[in-house]
Amino acid sequence: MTRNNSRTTTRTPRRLDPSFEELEDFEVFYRAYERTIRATLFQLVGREHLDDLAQTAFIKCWQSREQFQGGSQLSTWVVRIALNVGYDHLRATGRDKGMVELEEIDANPEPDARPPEETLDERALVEEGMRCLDPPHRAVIALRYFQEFSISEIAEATGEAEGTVKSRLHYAKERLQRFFSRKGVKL
Amino acid sequence: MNEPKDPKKSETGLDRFLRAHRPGVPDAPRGELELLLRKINPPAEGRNFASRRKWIAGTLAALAAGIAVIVMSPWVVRESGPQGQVVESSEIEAFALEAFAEPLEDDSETVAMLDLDWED
Repeated sequence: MTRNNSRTTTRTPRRLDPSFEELEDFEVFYRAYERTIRATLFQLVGREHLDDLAQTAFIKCWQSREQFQGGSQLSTWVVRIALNVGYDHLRATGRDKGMVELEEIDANPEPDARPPEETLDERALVEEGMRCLDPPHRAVIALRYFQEFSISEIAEATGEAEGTVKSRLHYAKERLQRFFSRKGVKL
Repeated sequence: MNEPKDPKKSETGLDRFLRAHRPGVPDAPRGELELLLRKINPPAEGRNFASRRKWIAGTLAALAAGIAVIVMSPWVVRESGPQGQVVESSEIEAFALEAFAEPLEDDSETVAMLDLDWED
């Protein structure tokens, strides 16, 4: 398992109450939602094209800020735009339906046989597990566990019913559970 | 926000594992904010261009107005000269003054002819 050497941040993206003052000044908006947008896109599409996609999402948010009516939280509105940018990219590159099949992943029947440094790199393992999910399932896991969104917030951000979100979460977790079990991770 | 974020009772091992090992997000490239500011505010250039256009339009309008005033001004009326060339009224006036100031040529002959007629 390899670790990317570029600088990364694992803290939870900063989320602000919807005071909307972020929409007055781009610099304030950027600083408030930079982590949220990058995290959403990174967890959905990966490292490749992340910078370009994040910039596209920022520009889209800023250009359509007048359409934000305040009926939802600013954070979920921003995430929704970022998700759409990510989905568009995946569709354009033909990766919208592709996900790594569990059967294609090397199973590790002897968990204890793994070298210690590899067992420590659980984060990379989670990243790998996310690639076993299709984009909508990846999105709900990312929002729920990496960005600490509630079910209703995820529903708002994805534009789906809460029931749909719950069922996607259930399916995604089941799949991840199988992935980690194949990798020899005891949960 | 309405529901508890981390309901410990129902939290599974997978939930804890995912939360504990969330993937690290690569930091934004240096200078991204400035780049985005330039992208969303092409204004700096746009505004200059817009003001330059206004300035050019204003100058042209002023120039056109000036030309119109000069062309239409009553003391520069253009007329046709004897050979069809364009002469200004001041030139016509000068020509006329010059013409009247000159003595008639062959004045003596004319008078002689008149005298003859009178003799007949």
